[in-house]
Parts: sequence; structure tokens; C-alpha cells
Amino acid sequence: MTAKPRTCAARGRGVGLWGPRAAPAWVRGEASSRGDVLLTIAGVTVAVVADEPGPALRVEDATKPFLVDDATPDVTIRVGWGQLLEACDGEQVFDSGALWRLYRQRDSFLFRFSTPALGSVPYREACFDARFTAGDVRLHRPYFETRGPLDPLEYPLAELLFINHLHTHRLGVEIHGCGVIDRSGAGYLFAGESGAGKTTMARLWEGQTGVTVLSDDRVVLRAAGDTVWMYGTPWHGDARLASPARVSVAGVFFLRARSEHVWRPLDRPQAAARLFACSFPPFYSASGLDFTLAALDAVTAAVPCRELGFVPDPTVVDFVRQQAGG
Amino acid sequence: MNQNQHDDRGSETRKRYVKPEIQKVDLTPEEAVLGACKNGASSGPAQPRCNFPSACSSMGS
Repeated sequence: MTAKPRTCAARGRGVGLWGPRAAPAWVRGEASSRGDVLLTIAGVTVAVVADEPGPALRVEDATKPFLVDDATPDVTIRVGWGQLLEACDGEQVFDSGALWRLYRQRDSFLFRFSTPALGSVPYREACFDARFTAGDVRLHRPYFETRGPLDPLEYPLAELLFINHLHTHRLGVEIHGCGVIDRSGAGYLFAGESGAGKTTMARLWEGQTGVTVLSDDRVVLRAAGDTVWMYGTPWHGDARLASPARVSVAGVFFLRARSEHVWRPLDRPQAAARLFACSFPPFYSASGLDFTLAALDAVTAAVPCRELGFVPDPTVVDFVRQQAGG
Repeated sequence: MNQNQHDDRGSETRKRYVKPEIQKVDLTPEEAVLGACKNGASSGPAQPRCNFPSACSSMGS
């Protein structure tokens, strides 16, 4: 007999997140001794709780600055072992063409992560409620027998969670970009696809006194009134730069490699289109796409956007400061 | 007001017509959907010669 794939509800989410299991220590206001994880990224707090018995959790070095001791979680995730199946119950709504696929199961969303290196059975599944406030992550036990502690939200799950939580709650947008806080307190976003020079730019700013690099690869933009806030994330690039700080964005620069430092202003439609191309749009969600476009339009209305061609040397820092008036 | 005066007044305030142009912006699909590793030199779940499970230092950067 072929086992029937279990839906998110069948995993016990329908009876409440904790079920018969005691609420984790941070819910009870006690210090956790089981390696549960509580972190805040871009103002969104996520609690990750491991089943007992279950996998030992590991936090990447870049994520450690984002850990918090006491916060009310916006998202709560349980992590545990499972015996996953090749088949899946539900309607497939998106195929990334690489690691993951997305399925809709009644009132929940299921992400399945597979790689041909391991086989046809997914190595991980993550099921979330429709509002992305509660989740259940199952790791296919046979694939992890020889492994030590695990990062429960290993790429790309953490970003998928945040992208969907952010647009569902109309909070913000993740951008493929390098963010810095200048010594003046001004925030600059350097956006671009892979190879545009984000990490190069991050390293040039990192060497400057009084500068904080929020990330050399991923930031989150959130608008509050007329202010666009940029948050660092732990999802770094080759420079491994990550900070949980935030800054008000004074300028957005779209990077291009050139033989000299040069810039040109972009009008709002151009800037919005460029930002969209540097974001991670939820193509499977019409409302998510609507929100993304509206949010990026709001960014271009509030913040000057420019194309920046640069030579990879430290003089670009002062060049940017001069152009931005900083 | 004669016709010439009307035309002169209209041309002073009328903006020069610029034909709308469609501008294309490139979007890298594998990056946009979080399906890529940084490059072929780093192993990761998306690479054919994957060393997974392993921690990739620059996922889709």
C-alpha cells in the first residue's frame, strides 16, 4: 500500500501549534536550554522550536547578531524529523525550476525542497498557514543521518518565509542589494544583480571610519510614512557582512561597472522597474505582486534613485557622498 | 483674437511631444526566485555536482 501524503493539517497544526507538548521556554518566560532560536530580522521576530526528540539546531555566525532574548514572535516554527514522500497532496502553484516548489493545501502553503544529488524525495518540507505566522518544517531523516546540528531555515527557506510574511502583512520588500550606514547617519542602498559590484562596494565602505555595512547582498525596505527604512539581514554575500541595524534611506544607486565614476538620475518608472528587477517578487501571488509594485513605487517617490557607474577603488565613497549631498 | 495669436499662445505652453518608448529592464529569473547559488565554483543544493548537505557561504548572491 502506498502511504498517502500528509497535509499540513494532518501534521497536527489543526490542533494548535503546541498540541500536547509544553510551550517552549521563551513562551513561559524562562531561559531556553534546548537550543530554541528566537531572532528578529527587519522588525519581524521568528521563533524556531525543535521537536523532542528532534534535530539539534545550529545558528550561522552571520545570524547570531539577529538573535534576541525576549520578544513576542510574529512567526513561530516547529522543526522536526519526518519521513517525507515523493508525492505531495495539494495544488502546485509555483516551480522555481531549481530547489523548491510551492503547493497550496486548502488554507496553507507547502514548500518542498529537492535536489537531484539526494534523490526524488524532498530533503525538507515547510508548511505555513496562509498568513505566514505559523509553520512546520520537516527534515527527511534518512538524508541527515550523519549530520550534526542543522540550520532549520537554511537557504532559501528563511528568505522565502520573510518574503511571504512581509508581503502578506504589507510590511516591506527584500532587495538584492548592499546597504550601508554612512558616518553622517545617511543610508545608501546599492542595488544590482549578481556581479554588479555589491560585495565590492560593501568592502570599499567597510574600510571607512564610522560606517556600518548592513549587508553586502540582501536588505529589506520598509516604508513608514515618508521614511523608507532599510534593514540589514543575515543573508550575506562573499564579504559575509551582516548587521541587524536599520537606517533611513537617503539614496538608491543601481550599480554598473565603468571606467570612471559617473552617475545619472533615474525617473520614477525607471527606478521602480530597476528595483523590481532587484527584488524577489512572489510571482505566485497576485496580491503579493501588487504590494511589491506599490511598495517599490513608494520607495521611488520618497528616495532619489540614480544609476552609478564606478571604478572599484575607495574614491567612490566620497563620490557617492558628494552626489548624495552627504 | 485672430488665429495667429491663438496659435502663438498655445505653442508657448505646449510641451514638445516625445514618443513613448518601452524600456526593458533585465531580470535574472534564477536569482529572482531564489533558485541559484552564487557561481559554479561554490557547491550548493542547486548545483549539479552538489555537495549537499553543506553550508553554502553565498547563497544566490
